[in-house]
Amino acid sequence: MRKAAIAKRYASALIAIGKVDLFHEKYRSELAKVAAVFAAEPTLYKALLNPMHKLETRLELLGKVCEAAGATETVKRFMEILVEKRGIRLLHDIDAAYSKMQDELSGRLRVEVQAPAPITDAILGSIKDKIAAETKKEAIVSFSARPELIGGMVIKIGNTILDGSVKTQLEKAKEKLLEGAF
Amino acid sequence: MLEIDYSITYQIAAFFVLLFALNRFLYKPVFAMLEERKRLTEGTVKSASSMEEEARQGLVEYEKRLKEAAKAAQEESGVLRDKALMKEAEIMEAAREEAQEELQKMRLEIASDKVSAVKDLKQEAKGFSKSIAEKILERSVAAIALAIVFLPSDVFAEGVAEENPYGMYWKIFNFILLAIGIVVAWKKWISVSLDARSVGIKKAMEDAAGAKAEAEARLAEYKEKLALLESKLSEIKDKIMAEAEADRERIFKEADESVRKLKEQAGLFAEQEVKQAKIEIRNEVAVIAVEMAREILSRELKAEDQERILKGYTERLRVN
Repeated sequence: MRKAAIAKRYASALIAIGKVDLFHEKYRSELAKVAAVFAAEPTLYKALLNPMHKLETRLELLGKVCEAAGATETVKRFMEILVEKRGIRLLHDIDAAYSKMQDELSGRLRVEVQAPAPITDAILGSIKDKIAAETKKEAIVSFSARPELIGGMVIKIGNTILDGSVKTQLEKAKEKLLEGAF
Repeated sequence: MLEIDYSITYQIAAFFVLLFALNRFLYKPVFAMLEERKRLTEGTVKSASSMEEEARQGLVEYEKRLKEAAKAAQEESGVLRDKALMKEAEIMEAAREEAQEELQKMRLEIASDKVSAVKDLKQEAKGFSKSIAEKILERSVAAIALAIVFLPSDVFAEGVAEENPYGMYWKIFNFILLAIGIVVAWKKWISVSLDARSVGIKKAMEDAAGAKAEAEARLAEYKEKLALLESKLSEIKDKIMAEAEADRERIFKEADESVRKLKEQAGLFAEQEVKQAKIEIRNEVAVIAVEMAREILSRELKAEDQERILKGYTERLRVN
């Protein structure tokens, strides 16, 4: 929890700069790319957090990563601060927090649809339209397969979960049976 | 020189006359008075002693009755206790001990009262004996003084007869003078003295009567006290029995209550277990039912069913 709060604070700082220079969308993609590099090469975290290496050496390494990811000077400086403050280990959380903030800022909603089997585009389109109509925001819908749901689907919109799966209906039925409703 | 002649006849006659006169007018009244005094004073003392004895016997009797009553109360209480439950024995023992303490306390009070009463009566007896002794002592001194009054006259009469051949006339004359002297003394001095002594005796008698009255009052007071102690004894006995009875009833009531609670608790336990069993059965049924439903759905849910479900859910979808 504390970890998420700290990550959110870093993300807030960066997006505040982006709001001023109107590059917040750009910073989002750059931060995502840098995070993808770190995700692909986890040893980078160890190297950048290792106090045995000089800070200059570590910053030099970070500069190369940022350059490879095509990061602007602002994002690079942001990453340097993370290394200096040893907040680099939260990079993945900071990226997630920033994406969320950016979506809110841009009026976008990330919608994850889960079902036991792939869903037709027509139904996904219906879901997207319905949510856009309900929230007045652009819905970016993605799909995840979850066979344990048996049937139906689960829609995740940020922290909101709309559960219409057969599995959950069975659980509810079980609870009612346990309560003696039947 | 002492000679025996005809004058001895006059001497003898004079002696008997004097003896008669003294016996008639002095000794008899005085002895009668003394007897009366003795009767009155000693009677009072005897009466006081009798009262003391009565009080003492009363105390002994009372003590005996106290013990008997206490014993009887304890026995009855013991019978009641034996009927009570064993687990309540400690409470009963406490009640019995309390009663015993009360009895012991009462016994001590009675013993103390007894000692006090005996002490008082002994003091009274001492006072009586002292008073009597003083009065007897006064009487002894007066008798001796009286004897001394008569001695010089006899000696004087004997000496004159020896010197004078016509002493017989002198002796007669002397006797007459003595008789006159006795009469005068009787009327003036002895009479006054006996009157005064009579007054003293009267006073002594009154004092003795007063003392006796006091002793009677004391005895009455003590009897009243004994009567009160008697009622106290009855009260203690009643109290012991009432407590024992109340304890017995309470024990039975508690036993009944315990049994009732036990039964109630057993009923509750049974009810709870039945309820729990019902819940467990229902849970098992629910689990089995859901598991069976899951198997059916997994087997029977087709693509068209899934599409129908998704469409329906999408139509009902509400984000806010």
